[in-house]
Amino acid sequence: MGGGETQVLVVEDDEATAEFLLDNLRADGYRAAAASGVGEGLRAIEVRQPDLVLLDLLLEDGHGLELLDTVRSADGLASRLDPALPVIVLSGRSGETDRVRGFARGCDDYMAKPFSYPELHARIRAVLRRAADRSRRGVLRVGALVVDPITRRVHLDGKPVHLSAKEFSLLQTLAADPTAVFPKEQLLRDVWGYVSMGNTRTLDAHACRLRKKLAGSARPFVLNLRGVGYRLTEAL
Amino acid sequence: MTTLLAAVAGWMLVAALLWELRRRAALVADAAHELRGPLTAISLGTEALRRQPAARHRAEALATEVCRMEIAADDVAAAARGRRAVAHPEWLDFARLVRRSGEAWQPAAGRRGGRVTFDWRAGAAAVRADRRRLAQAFGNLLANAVEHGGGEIVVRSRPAKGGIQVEVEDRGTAASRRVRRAGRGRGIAIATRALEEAGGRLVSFDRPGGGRVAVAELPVERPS
Repeated sequence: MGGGETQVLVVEDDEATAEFLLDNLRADGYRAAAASGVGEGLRAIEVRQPDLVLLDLLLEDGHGLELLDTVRSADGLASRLDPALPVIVLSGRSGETDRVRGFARGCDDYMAKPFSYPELHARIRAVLRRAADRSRRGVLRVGALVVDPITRRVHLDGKPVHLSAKEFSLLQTLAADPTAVFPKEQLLRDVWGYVSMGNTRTLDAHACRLRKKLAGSARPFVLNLRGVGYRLTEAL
Repeated sequence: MTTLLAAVAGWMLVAALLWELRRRAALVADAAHELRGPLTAISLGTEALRRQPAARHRAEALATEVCRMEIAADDVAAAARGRRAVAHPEWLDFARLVRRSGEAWQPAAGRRGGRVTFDWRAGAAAVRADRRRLAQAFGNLLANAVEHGGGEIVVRSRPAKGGIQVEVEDRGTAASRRVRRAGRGRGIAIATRALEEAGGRLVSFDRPGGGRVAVAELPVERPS
């Protein structure tokens, strides 16, 4: 029916609703688990790494949008939260203002209770399909920095950053493992195609320009470990 | 002085009435909100039940009744603002919807020693309407027929000009008809309004030999 190994986390404090949702999701082949509050939900996201979250808003220890804010503001480095995690809000409030607020805070879809399960399932599949497209494109996200290898576009804090071809290749290589140190030899080989250790001044010059172009954010990028190599950023 | 006192008293009365209206609207809105949670659980539970082959038939009938509850909850929420629920029209398999409504009332008809039988001669027909409103209309027609008609119910359909006619016929006795007349109105009025919202109409008349016939007429799109 569509689930496969896809894991869905249900964050819902009404036990009957959570149980019946799990029954239906499991019958459709998803691996499904439930959490009843904001804290438990965030812990479950970190531990289980779900592919999608179904999020109720009025939870026992807070508001579901708090959980959404924490996920969306995650930088993917300090915690195991993926800021692009697909989230569908399930709410008892169906007004236009409530829906708009949900989308403004970053939900991928919004369904008002009571909803029909077949419609929810169709929307789950649509959201997962969009998420899979994104991941197939290999979009890299490091804090406020987003690198799209297909369009070769780079955004920092939502604003475009214009890079030369080599600067982009260097950034793409570093962003593949943002906190790892890449030796200069490896970067010269992977980005410039040098088979033996050449002049590192070319690399240093490109890294310096790239650092300046990415200097607008709170987090420093393109860190030089003298005598060793470069890494994109530091974990908090 | 007297005029001033009367004006102040009048103003206070209006203010008290407005406060009371607001208080009632808030109570109604709270009640509507409280209905949504349990309804969600029941709807999901019904869907889970539908997956079990032995329960599928009953669960589908139950789902139609859940539709009625959902539109009622939306109507309650809208009533707090002095409105009707917003319609969500979609293309529906009309025969299936009516049959499921009938099945939902089968146990109640059985308890009265009768049953709901179908005589569907209109063929496949697609109707564009809010599923919940039509479930409400036929739920009310069938409830009325079962409660006052002694249990033997016939649901009959036939093509009509540009549409379809569905009759819900019962075999009520004169005594039950008197009871029906005393309590008549609400269920039929709700069904009439629901059908009108879907672009249709409802007429009803006494059946020769006892009982009552309610005829719902709706515009349809026939499959090409």
